[in-house]
Amino acid sequence: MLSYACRRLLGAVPTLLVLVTLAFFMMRATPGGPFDREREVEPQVRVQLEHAYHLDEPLLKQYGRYLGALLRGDLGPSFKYADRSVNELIAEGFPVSLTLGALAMLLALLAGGALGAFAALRQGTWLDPLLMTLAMTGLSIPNFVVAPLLILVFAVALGWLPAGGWAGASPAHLLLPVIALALPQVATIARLLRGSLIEVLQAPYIRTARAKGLGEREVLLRHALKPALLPVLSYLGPASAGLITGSVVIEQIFAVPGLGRYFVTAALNRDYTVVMGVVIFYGALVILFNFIVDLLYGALDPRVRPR
Amino acid sequence: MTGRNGLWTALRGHRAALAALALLTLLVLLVIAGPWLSPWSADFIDFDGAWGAAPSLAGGHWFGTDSLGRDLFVRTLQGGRISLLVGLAATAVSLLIGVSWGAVAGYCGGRVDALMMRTVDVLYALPFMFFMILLMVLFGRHLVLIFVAVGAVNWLDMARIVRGQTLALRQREFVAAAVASGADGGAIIREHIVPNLLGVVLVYVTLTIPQVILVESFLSFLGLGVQEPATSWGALVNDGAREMETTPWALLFPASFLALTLFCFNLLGDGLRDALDLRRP
Amino acid sequence: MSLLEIRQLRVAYASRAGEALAVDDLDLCVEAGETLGIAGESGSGKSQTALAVLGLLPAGARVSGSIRFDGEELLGAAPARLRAIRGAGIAMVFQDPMTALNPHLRIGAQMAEVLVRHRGLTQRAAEAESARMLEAVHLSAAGDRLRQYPHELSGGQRQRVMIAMALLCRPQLLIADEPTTALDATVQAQILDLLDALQREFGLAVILISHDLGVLAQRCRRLAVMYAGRVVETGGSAALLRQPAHPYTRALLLARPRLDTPPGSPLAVIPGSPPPAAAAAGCAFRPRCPLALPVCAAQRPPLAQTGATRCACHAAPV
Repeated sequence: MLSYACRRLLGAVPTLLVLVTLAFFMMRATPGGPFDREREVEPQVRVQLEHAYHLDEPLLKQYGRYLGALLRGDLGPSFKYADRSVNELIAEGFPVSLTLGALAMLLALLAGGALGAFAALRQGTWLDPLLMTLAMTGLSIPNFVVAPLLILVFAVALGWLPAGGWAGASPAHLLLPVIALALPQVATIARLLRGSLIEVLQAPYIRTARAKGLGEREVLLRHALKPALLPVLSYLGPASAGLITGSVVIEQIFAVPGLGRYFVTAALNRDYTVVMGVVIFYGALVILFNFIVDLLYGALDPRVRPR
Repeated sequence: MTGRNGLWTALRGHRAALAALALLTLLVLLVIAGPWLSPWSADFIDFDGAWGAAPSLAGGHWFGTDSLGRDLFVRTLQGGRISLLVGLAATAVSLLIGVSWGAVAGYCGGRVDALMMRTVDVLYALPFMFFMILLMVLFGRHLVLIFVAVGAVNWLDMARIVRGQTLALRQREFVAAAVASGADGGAIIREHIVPNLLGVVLVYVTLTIPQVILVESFLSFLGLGVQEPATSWGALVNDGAREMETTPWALLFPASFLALTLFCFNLLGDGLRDALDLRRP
Repeated sequence: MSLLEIRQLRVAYASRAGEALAVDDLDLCVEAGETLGIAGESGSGKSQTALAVLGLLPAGARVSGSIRFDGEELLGAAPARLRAIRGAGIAMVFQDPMTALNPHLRIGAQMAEVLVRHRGLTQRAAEAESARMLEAVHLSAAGDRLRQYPHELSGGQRQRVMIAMALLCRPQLLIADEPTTALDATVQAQILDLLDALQREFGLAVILISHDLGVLAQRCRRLAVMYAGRVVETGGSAALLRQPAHPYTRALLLARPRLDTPPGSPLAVIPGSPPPAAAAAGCAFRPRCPLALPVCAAQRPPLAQTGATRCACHAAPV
């Protein structure tokens, strides 16, 4: 198990390096420096600024400096707000985003899993196509469309829930953003689990289980559920990436003070270091998540598990 | 099964997919021809009709007007032009890269294949939407850049599936025959492999277009995509969402068009994949 | 009374062209303790018959007729009653041991659950009994095997596990559907020897299903040859091998590779392929039959005594 984990970890390192390198050189390939646009800066100030941010050094040296700082976990200062570092922004915004994302993931797994299993077991009845059409609809309505609609109905028209804000993660403030964020993932997981469960239920070993005289409940829970859940497990990596991406718009719409919102503000302000720092941070998070999923998969599927 | 006739026969059984295809055709025609049907132009500000007028057939503003007094029917269809254009153009870019990459990797095999596919694996793990945002921030928000960028990051699925199919095709007799008769590698890929990939590629094109439209509308929604006065469905949804308490139609019409288009593409892609009995890569 | 009596069994599936018959008007019986061989090409309805006995046909199947096990009617029996019989009274060994065992469960868990289900044993007692049964099928290191997963065993070992699992509750009838088709030739013989030995040891009745008539003839006292969902010939194996009456049986025997044919000589083949479903009228084998008579197109031949065997053929010598 340990060597398997090490091999997987070694696989993640180049991905991380590519991520950092791409982000860094893309930023430095920008026409003009970060202080060129919009505001006119006096040449003298500009030289000082460039020196302060080491922009006057050769590119490779800057790259080395950035990598070195990154190894110490330092994502550098914000270009726009001299008194704040990217690390501070992340420390402030990420717990909020994490709360939102974790709840949405939980909802996606529970609701998506239940719907998918239900549809698979009702295959051949009218419920299955109905549920799958709903899932396809959920998949096709982007969450930046769902979110305003939810606000329109539940906040504006009915007045049941607040239209936005955070209020220290109060349940009333969490409900709508979590639903809006989770919806496409609910739909995807439902479709995924339905497909894999139907396939597993046709496997010869399920027929063997029935031939042994086991009841349908035992067949489902003991024999079919685990193999049917493995594809859902592999999907958790992409799902986490989807949730992170979604959080960017959801936080914007519901005025949630999370990292995604800072990210958009930074992007609109051309605050390069913040944008790049967040990209690297989230990229590393997705890579970490994929790594954990790989490990779990190895632990759960006896055929993958190394001896 | 890859021939056009085989595809058509296979698809005939999927009524939902056929309905989606018909609806899509209608949508495309409407988006192309629609703006000429209306007496208004996209940037005309109607000072006579109220700002934020409700939809009415009699008033001529079939979808109402936005808060600036612009006709929403025309705006929605204009936005649709951009959204669909970006969808098609970016898909073409990803098609070009993905098919070449996959076909070369699958055809060469061995170390070249391993290296090329390892690259795909690495890129796969990157947070693609964030890169898009980074690109938009760094290089400005040009339309061309949007579809080149989206296409350039969205070719991975295509590369994987094409490589798998190429590997399988390479084993087949007609390729062996071409090799034996002394055809060179490039010609074999061009003349034998690529034509046989058409069915698979068609499915993935159908599934890539909605993804790309979604990415573009996502960026435009954040204000990082198409810039005024040009517009796209994502930008219109953003405008509409801001005014939804007073002019909900400004949100509902573009949002419905966007969702319906994505829904139809997804349904069609699903149907095609079923019909051709393909799996995800 | 026979242990298993199948009367006028019919299994049909809805298809675009109407009803497709998988099994058509089938009569079979198996006495306690005997081995019956069922032979036929793939698609002849052998496996469908076996699955019908256990009530394991897919949801779309329409079944009619009668299947009596130990005097009890199985068709239309309550699901709970069928589950009580499956695995305990009638057990089944499937064709491919690679896929018939659950790859996600340890051998011990898969075996023990049969005993827990039917005999109410505790997990510990059930695993101990499973280990004893693994020894009975001559699987080495039986105790360790229980902790292994199917992919850690070879094909032959897995089939021994399947057989041991089927025998755990001492069933009266074992149905083995092509139990050796997926295995190497040397392992095939071992598994069939094992089945022979176990059949004597446990006093089992066995239905051995195979496409290989010669193998069946060596292992079974009685044989039934199926074609397009029907039994076309049945009788003692010695008689059937010596004097096959049905042209299809003769063709099957000729199509076998034999050690005494000179190397390089071509194998006899049966031209054509079996119809997907039994023909509406007449003999289903007629299109491929060298002896077809005009009557064969109009009338379906009934199963009748012809010399040493019972045979359904208008052209058979009486």
